[in-house]
Amino acid sequence: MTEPSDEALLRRIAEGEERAARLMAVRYLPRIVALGERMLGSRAEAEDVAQEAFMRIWKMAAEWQPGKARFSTWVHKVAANLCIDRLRRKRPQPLDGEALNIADPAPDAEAQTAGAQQSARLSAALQKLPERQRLAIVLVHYQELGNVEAAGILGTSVEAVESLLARARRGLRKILLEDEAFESLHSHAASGEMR
Amino acid sequence: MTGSAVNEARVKTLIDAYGADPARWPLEERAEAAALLARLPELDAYRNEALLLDTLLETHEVSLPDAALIERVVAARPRGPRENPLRALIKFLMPDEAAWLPAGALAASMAFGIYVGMSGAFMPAASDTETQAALMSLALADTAVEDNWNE
Repeated sequence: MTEPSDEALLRRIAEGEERAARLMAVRYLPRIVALGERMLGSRAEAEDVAQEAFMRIWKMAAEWQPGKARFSTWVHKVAANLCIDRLRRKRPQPLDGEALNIADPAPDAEAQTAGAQQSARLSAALQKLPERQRLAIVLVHYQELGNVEAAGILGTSVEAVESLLARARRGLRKILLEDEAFESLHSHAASGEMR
Repeated sequence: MTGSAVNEARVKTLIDAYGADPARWPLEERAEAAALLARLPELDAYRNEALLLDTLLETHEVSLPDAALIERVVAARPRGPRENPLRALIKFLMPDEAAWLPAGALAASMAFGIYVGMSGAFMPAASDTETQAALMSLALADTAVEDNWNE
């Protein structure tokens, strides 16, 4: 059986059907949590954002007008805006081009596996990026949205998205390749052993 | 970025923005840019540098939401009008019932009609003279006829 469309689920949610709400949660919760965690660097905050985003989804269910916009784009925009709001309330952002040094991971990270440590260091590196660069790379690289969709969410042109992405990647490369934890990967790449 | 021929500079821009994997490049330019990249071995080092970053980015893992979070999200939705239990059952059995419900009702009506027609359950027996008399009496609204109609 084919999966029901977002629009079909929204109609059923508006009628009060719990099963449709559950399907919607299973479909979008992982994506919203992933976006939030990469934008905010905190699982707990990402889950808060996801719950807020879903409150808006439930309210929108009865009002959604098919054909006006893609529902997935709207969901990403809601989640992205919630993250940006939190970031702006929380701390000042580094300027583009500012010297970026990765912080040591939390002390208990020493006990983590190498993979988990690398993941934590990459998360810290993402947090060092200016928020719009971070959002661009999260939307396009991790959420795998198209450039037009990402441009719509960021409220800019495709060319500007490509510029944000290029600057984000340059910034991350600089941060990560100066980090000892990634030295071995760098060596592998240089010797052509990767992929 | 549509309508412009892909050149070496554009391939570099694509690598800078989207990484080394052509599968991540915009669809409308992908085939042309990938073909050009294959003909430009001087871009191998450039691409490998991007490939390194792609690999590093993949080391960031995010675990799936647990069941408790899904339950909290679903439980937090505003309650609309209470759903009719029969309709809930139909939806459970046929999630995409919208098209099937009218068709199912029609089919059930037809089946019932055919059953009634075939069984003769509501046909008066031709030889039942009492019934004929009663029907005639009823039609004429004359109760006095009932007793001696055949006389």
